[in-house]
Amino acid sequence: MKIQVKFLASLYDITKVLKTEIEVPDNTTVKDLIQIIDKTISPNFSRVILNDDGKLKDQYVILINGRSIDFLNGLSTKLTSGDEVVFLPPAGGG
Amino acid sequence: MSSIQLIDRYSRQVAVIGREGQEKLAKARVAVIGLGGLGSLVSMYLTGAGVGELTIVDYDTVNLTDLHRQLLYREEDVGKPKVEVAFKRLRDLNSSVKIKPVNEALTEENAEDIIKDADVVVDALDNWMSRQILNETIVKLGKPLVHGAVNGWYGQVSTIIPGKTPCLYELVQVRSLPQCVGYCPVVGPVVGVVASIETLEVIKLITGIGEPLANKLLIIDGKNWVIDEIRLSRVENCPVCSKYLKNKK
Repeated sequence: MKIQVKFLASLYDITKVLKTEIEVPDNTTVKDLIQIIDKTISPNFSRVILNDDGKLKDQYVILINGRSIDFLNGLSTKLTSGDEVVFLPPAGGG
Repeated sequence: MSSIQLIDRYSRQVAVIGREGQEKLAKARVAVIGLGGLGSLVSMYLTGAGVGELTIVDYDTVNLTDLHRQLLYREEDVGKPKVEVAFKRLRDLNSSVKIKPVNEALTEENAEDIIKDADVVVDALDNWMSRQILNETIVKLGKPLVHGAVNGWYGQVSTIIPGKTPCLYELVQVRSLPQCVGYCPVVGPVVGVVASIETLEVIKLITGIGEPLANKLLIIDGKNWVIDEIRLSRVENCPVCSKYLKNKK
């Protein structure tokens, strides 16, 4: 199945890709997708956004179709065909 | 000031938003929370635009390290309370706008009182802990909030309308405390871009003209000039919305 993926702000700087379509197997989770991104787009991506214990670092947010994975099933959230996954470091300053 | 003078003063703007739009601005009450980079510029634009009443909120004093982006302040202002300096400068800019300075940090205790009379609230804060307090209060009171934030070369803007859009908690939870509490590195003009977009949102919400960034998060990447709009969707299990909004869809 095909997934739309976006990398914004500092994550665009790392991947040099703004948006792309990725072919993934059925039942792929967000965590699986991050590994696929490591292999196909940016080799150190997982190290940038995940802690050593495999959890998403506090300064990043992942949205699936406009909803944070914190309100879904976290990194274990399963993707479905056509989903848009956005990786972003929300700004905090003013 | 007579009606003719008022129209003349705003003639360039009235040509765009109409007399009706200008009259709506003149009656509007806006609360700007935070008078740092975003808040000082948003306040200047809103005062120039001729809103009726502007509440400005900040507990801090002007620091030398603020001056590269907080263009409301001068070297001679260093050490003075921001609201005090802002009050004077904004009054000098447009004496017909009623400026209400609040020299306090936004807290759970005072937030409701500060924003209860506002038609639109502007998030010009510099940290997510205060934003969560502001978010909970606007959801509780049903006030539209224009959210803006900056970091480095990047910024973001979204307009929160309780019950119709996701609230800020749905985007960033308390666990995501900012990477830059009290000291956010930023390039000055990025703040200018984000503050300008926030002010446009306020003017659009007040006049009813145009499409606000409701259910959208605008991301501005000033380094690579990537400007992207992310569509946002409400979640069913937001604890803030569930607590205050009935008949949530």
